[in-house]
Amino acid sequence: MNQRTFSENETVDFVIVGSGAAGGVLAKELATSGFDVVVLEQGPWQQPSQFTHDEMAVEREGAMLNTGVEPYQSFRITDAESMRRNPGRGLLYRRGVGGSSVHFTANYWRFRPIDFKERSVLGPISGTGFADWPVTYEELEPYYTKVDWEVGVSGAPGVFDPPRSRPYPLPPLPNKSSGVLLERAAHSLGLHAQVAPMAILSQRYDGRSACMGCGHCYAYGCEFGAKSSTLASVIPKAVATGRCEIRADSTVFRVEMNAAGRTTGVAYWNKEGKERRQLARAVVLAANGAETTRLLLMSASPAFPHGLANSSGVVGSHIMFNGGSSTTGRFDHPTNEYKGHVVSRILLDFYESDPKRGFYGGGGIDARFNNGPIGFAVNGLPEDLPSWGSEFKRALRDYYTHSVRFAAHLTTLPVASNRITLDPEHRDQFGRPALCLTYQDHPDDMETKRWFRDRTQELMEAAGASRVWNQPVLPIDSGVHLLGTARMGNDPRESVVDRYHRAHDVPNLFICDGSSFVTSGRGQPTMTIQALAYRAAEHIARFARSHEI
Amino acid sequence: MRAFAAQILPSDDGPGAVEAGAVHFIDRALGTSSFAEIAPLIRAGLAELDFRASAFDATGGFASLSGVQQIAIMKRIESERFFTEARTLVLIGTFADPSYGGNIGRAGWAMIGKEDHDMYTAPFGWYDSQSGAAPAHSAA
Repeated sequence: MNQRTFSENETVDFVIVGSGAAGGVLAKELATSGFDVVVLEQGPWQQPSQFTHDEMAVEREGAMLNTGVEPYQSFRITDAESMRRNPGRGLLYRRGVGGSSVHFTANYWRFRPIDFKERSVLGPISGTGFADWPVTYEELEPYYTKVDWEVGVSGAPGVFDPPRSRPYPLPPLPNKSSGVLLERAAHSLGLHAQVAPMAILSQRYDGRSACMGCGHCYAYGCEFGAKSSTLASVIPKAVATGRCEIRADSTVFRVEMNAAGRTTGVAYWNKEGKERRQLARAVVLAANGAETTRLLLMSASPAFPHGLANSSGVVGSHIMFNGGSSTTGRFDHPTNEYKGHVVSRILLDFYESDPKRGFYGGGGIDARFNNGPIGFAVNGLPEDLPSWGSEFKRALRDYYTHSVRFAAHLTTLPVASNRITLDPEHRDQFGRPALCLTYQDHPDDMETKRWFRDRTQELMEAAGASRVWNQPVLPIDSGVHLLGTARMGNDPRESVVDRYHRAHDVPNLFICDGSSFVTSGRGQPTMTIQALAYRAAEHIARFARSHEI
Repeated sequence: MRAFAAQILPSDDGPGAVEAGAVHFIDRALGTSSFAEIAPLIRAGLAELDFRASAFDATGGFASLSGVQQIAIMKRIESERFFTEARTLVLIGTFADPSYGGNIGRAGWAMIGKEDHDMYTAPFGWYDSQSGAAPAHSAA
């Protein structure tokens, strides 16, 4: 793509670290507002035509994931344990222009008003950093709507929707068998299935193609540009302003500071591993909850001995992933869930936490079956069925095209001791310390998973499945939703950024991505990450124009 | 390996792992970096199968045994790492993209009833093809 380029000696208005869900939006908004922007992205700039349906490469070898490039991550349950290799898949995200918005499933649930003020409504929860957000749903609503219309979201109003100021720009994607079965189950139990909002185009929109139903949303990139990644939606617009350079294959390793306590830009390695610098009047970190943390911790200095912008000590802490649990069912007729988008119906009856349950937690349930043939054959069948031989072969045929999963997407509590730190014993190809996750599920989070597993089982039975089996409820050691590690707040002693995403400690450093979350929401964070990014961009531009940076 | 693969996904009521070219995939895969680490384990495990076959007075190794005898041996080792890894290789060889050398003619996908197109239009399955499904609850 032809784009304006900037010299490294040139002091640009903004350097943005990361080009994913948040970085792409910030780049487009700040460039459109008339500022010079350089986006540094550690992965390559792939075009949609380079994305494949290759399950071996994508799902088994991590072609779309950081772990395909940097395989070592550490884990421990508590500080008392020594760091060991993460037994699971680790902290997962995609490196490349568009970030994880390229390979995500594209569930675009808004948060609801309760998500921003649960602490006030429910009271404190001991052993946690459960807190209200410094923004409300009402403040964020115009930006949710902006996301709908700017990136392209398909949907229809649902019974549990929060207020919206404008309809969806696109009608819903077609309902799938999984969605019909969730509707049936909900109806028979007196519950309410509703249309899933998806960041996938149901019709041509804004010069982009409609979804072709290829069946490779989850974990894959969309070769049609119909999935509303920032790669397909806002990044081309950022570049078209002539004021934004997307510099791919550029791995930032330090935010640079001057004696006055202001950032002067960033230091990074280019594709050849050579050290480079980019000067900027202000720096915006949008590198995701794991990499934003690593960068702040690696930018420690005598003025910031525990990491940049970390006078509070909470950088990296309170990580939240969104727990999950699920039930699978086999039906008498074909469901063919391998075709089309992943999710068409969701059920939000159990969204809010209910003190009567005896624990904190809530969530949403969706209907899907996103197993590829290899993954399904290796371990997708019920455990009591044979795993090889004639009966195994018959079961694969009977189940692969006839199965549906009801999956719950849940709250996780912010706990200070659950956090990302650096493991200096293991380093990547550049010498950066590996990410270490310290994580122990809060007891309420485990209760929430079990409670929702019982609900998904009831729904699956009500849907009429001829065979029902639960996936085990497990503690978390890995995740794709990397939330809460540089939380927003009004109190600099307890949070990293203020309500406008400005670091409490550094006036010209902004942080806006999943790390900004105060609480986890219910499962699907990207819509809120982008609404925050639109809101942050508007305020950052305002500060810049009025010389308040 | 061929005999092992034929017991994982037999050619009973239609093409199995052998017809899908899983063995061809495995021969290629064990020479690549992705599977180099387990290649010695696989070779040792296959030698072990032949050794165990000698208990049945077989002269031609595991492959020369009857199906019943092969299954008896495999049942004894199904919790061993060799079995798990070799089974996974057979499944990858059967169901991976044909560019890896297996799943010849998309026989693996046909085996499980998956159509092979780059795009699909609704209705996708039986339930969504039926009219009269309860509508989603929408806001008033």
